[in-house]
Amino acid sequence: MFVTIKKLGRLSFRKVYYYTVFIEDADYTEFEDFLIRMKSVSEYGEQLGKILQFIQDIGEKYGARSEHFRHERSADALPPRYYIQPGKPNKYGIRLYCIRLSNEIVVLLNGDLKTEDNPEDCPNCRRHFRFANAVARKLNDAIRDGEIVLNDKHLDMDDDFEIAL
Amino acid sequence: MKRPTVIDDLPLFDEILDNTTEESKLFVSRSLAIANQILIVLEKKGLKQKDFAALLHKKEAEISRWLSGFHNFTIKSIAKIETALGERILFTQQESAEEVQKAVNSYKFKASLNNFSGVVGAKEKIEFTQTGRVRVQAPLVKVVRLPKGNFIDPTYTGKAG
Repeated sequence: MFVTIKKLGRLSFRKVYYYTVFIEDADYTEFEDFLIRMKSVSEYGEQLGKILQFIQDIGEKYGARSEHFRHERSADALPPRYYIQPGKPNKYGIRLYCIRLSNEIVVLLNGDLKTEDNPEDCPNCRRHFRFANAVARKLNDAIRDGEIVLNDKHLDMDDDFEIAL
Repeated sequence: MKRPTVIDDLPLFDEILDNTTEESKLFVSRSLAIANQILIVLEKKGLKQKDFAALLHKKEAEISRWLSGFHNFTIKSIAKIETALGERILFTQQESAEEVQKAVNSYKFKASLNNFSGVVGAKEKIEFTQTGRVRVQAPLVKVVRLPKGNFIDPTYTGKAG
């Protein structure tokens, strides 16, 4: 499958530009798909709102410091580590997988309600975790090989650059 | 080289935020603000998280949770942090105003000019007496070279002339 990177104009802030990816033949980008599906889980509406507020505040005021992200092998995730959601039947809550490329560039992907400690064991998050890591490895290779250059908040890519998974 | 194409609209992002309680949003904003203030102080002092953890006799993993931006700080924790760092992290609005006034009052400048009035720094206007000396109390952030080679000496701490 081919995956293309898209810049999220609404989430282009003073300190961080957020991007997402579009999977060939999908109806929505990965982040849009996450918002659509998670919005319908009313029980976790407040946590979803907190994650979006977090994205906005980091983008506008603080930058995407690594301290603010949960590290998930080659990829990252929100909310950050050790956030405990008290009083809820599922202690893990929502997980949004992403890729923090720098303090200025974050690629927001997809996620779901996490039900197991190990994402590989979680039927909801497994595919999003694996996808995020696959994309992260491709991006890291591209940056290493010079096919993608991180230019402040911009991603400069070779004209023929594409992500094939 | 090319750049990614832009998706301008993301109405669902704003819709979800609008439907989130102010309390939840403020919790995140305040926690992030405190976490980042701690990180600023640590950087200023050249301390790593493990050094900070040692100062507080805490595990590094707990410090990492504090600095993530989603932590619910207690007043007790804030007091421990401020004591360990030797610096205030949190100010009320009144405390902030008092700190600013202290800073303003601590700057004194000597100007040696004849019959000149001009603008220095951001907004301050200096007015000179017939002797050409005046005390300016303002938080000027740089020395400005004025016409005719005159200047404000920011290191002056004596009384007004």
